[in-house]
Amino acid sequence: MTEPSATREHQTGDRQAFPALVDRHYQSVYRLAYHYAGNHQDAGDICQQTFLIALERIGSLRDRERFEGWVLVIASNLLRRRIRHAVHGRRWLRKGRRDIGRQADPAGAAASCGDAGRNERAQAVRTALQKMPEKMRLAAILVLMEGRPQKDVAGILNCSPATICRCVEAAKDLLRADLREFID
Amino acid sequence: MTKSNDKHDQHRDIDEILQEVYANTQPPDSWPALRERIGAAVSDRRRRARSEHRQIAFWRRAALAMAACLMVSIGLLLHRQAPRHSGDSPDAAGTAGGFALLTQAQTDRLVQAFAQVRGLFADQHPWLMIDSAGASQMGLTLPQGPGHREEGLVVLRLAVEETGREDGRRYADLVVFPRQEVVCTLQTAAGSTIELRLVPVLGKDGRVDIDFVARLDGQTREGRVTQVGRDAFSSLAQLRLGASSFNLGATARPIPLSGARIAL
Repeated sequence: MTEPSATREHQTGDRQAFPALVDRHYQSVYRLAYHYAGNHQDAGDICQQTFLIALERIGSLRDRERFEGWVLVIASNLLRRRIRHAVHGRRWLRKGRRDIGRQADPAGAAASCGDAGRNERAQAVRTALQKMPEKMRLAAILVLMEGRPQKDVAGILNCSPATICRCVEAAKDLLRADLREFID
Repeated sequence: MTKSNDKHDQHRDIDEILQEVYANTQPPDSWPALRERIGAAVSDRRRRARSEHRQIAFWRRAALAMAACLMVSIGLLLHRQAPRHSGDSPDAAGTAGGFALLTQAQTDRLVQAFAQVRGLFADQHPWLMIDSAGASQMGLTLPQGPGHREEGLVVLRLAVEETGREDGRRYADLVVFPRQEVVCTLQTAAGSTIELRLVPVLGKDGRVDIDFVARLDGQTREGRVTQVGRDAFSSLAQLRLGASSFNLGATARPIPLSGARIAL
């Protein structure tokens, strides 16, 4: 089932269509939330909440081909709203930064040297992302990590492609500085 | 050799590092476990939405019942007030050209009441009949065809006359939406009951046609009367009961919906 047809079928009352949409997009939503929040617990919560909101509001989605972009807009709005929530936001960020230090390879203990190196790089990337302002961080995750076109990301973050281009360049500079030990 | 491979593994392009980190990101338990949690939350939300829907349906039905009570109350109130306020006898209605059972002010109030309560009935529309024999009837039916909400209301005056008897006329005022089917009964002066099923149809030029089926003691008359009179009764049907003959007539007046609507 294609994405537009799954969206249309859900909108016309087919209950099996929404799980198909979740199957297709939950990993990208989770990855966005994880790299933005910096911890698995919040990433899981945001991911779940994103699809609950999508379930409630899918009837209002006019352009069925843009379900993925629409879900990412919901997720990024949730992430930004959560971080802006004054007191909780500060705690959440601190928690995220603390968790980065604790998190190991989710698949289990890193046995080989390759895994150890991968974990180090992952940790360094998460730490570097957490230092960035929110829009730059989202742009970095969506463009540099997910490989989405800057024009699409501008639509998701509701700003101009030029702004995204500037954010991405600045994010790359920051990442190069923080990850210089891993770069050729 | 191993050391050299490690070195190569560690030093790479920044895009490569970011994409590798992104690709290796996964929940602490597993992707299927996360998918299961999301699926459970979605199912739970759906269950709750269904339960809320049932509650909304319950309250809607309760509101419907309350609105029905309100309609009956309005009907009874108007019926009690009608003779006092109009000052006309029902028998004079046909010649006076006015509405003796419902005065203009009472009709306006009723129309306003309809405008206010109709939102409670969803797709169903209410109708109300008050007759000169001292009874009122009301009901809810689905209009036949679109556009009925914008067309306003139709006030029909029905008259049942026993041929050859001057005092044998009975009247009923019926407030109904266009294209709405009404099933009601009319009492003759002799006490017989005419079962009536009618649908008023409002034309673009403001004329009213009536589709009807009238039944008295096993005889049935049905048909359509076009351009029902505003001020003079148009004959709908002749019905016989033994030696007596009854003439069923009607006048019709379209009224645009007016008055404030209650947002529901």
